[in-house]
Amino acid sequence: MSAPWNRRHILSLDDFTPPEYDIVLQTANSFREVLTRRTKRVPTLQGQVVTNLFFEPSTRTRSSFELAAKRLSADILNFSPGQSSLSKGETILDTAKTYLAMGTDMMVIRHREAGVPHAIAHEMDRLNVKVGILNAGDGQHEHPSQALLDLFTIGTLLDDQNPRISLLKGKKIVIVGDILHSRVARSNIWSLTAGGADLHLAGPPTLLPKWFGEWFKDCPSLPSNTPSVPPPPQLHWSIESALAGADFVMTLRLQKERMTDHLLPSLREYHQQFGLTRRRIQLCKPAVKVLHPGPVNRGVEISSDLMDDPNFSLVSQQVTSGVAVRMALLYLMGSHLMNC
Amino acid sequence: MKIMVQVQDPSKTPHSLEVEMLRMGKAMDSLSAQQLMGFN
Repeated sequence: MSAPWNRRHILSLDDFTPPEYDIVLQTANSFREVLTRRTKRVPTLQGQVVTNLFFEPSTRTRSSFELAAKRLSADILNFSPGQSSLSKGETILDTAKTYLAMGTDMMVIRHREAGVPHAIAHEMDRLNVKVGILNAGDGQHEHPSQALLDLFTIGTLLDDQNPRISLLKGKKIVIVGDILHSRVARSNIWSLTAGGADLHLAGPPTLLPKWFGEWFKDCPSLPSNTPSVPPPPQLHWSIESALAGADFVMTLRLQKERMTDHLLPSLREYHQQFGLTRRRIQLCKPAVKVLHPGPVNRGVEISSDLMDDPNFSLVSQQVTSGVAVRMALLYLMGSHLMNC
Repeated sequence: MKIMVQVQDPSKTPHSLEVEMLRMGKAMDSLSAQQLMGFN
């Protein structure tokens, strides 16, 4: 491994460095091999406790983290707000402290408000306790593990044996959809630009404010060893101009409540203007691949036939990559906690 | 907390503050409908 891992918490990708991305990718690639074995389990986190604190409903992220922890032989605790003392008035911090007192080593946290994992990590650091916090999605802010699994999926496609962030350099990657409300998009902006990708964002103006073009301006959290500020993402309020010559297209799930917020006229009109279809995919490079964080609204952000076409769709590979990447994150955090 | 410290930085101009809030996923709390449209 090229550099040591020094993070107790993984809260955001805004200050991740290229060597850190490479450590995650290399570690995930090792675990990908483990997942092909007959016995898909290693004893690396035996005796450690991982708690899934999901204050917001989740199916795939929670299952993926749970499976990743089990593959590492950790003990798992799962928290659901509906069946918990939160409904009796307990605060979020008190809930976290309760699981800490049970011996939790790592907490995987999702909440609908931006900043909750940061707040819990801050409190744990203030208490000077050895526990790692992993952000599994906070409001519209960030979803680091999703962006890292997207990066891993692209990286292994470009070099199956040695995925690394530098492979992104010069690749045209387009993120299409509800950028404004997407924590997946925000995390991907950090990771893809860190690798030197030619990043383009596309969506209707109500879901893609022009200020996304100023993403890196006066940005306080760029890594201090960043040689230069990355070029900002290019914005498109038309999907056709964005797709021209693209290597990868990431479509985002469109949430139906955006229509009641009066940000969209209808799902049908959205599909007509921004839906990824077989006709539109012809604008991209012939070997273009499509990613989607799921769950997919078939016929809204992407046509059903394109979604199912293995020549284009990487959706299944993303789900598989998710387990290996989350194993890598838990392993790196757990190893750091044992050594500090 | 890191997020709150950044938002409360008095050296930020209103414009850069709003770009920063956009980065932090707080846009809907602070931007007007006209600003959201992206056009003046």
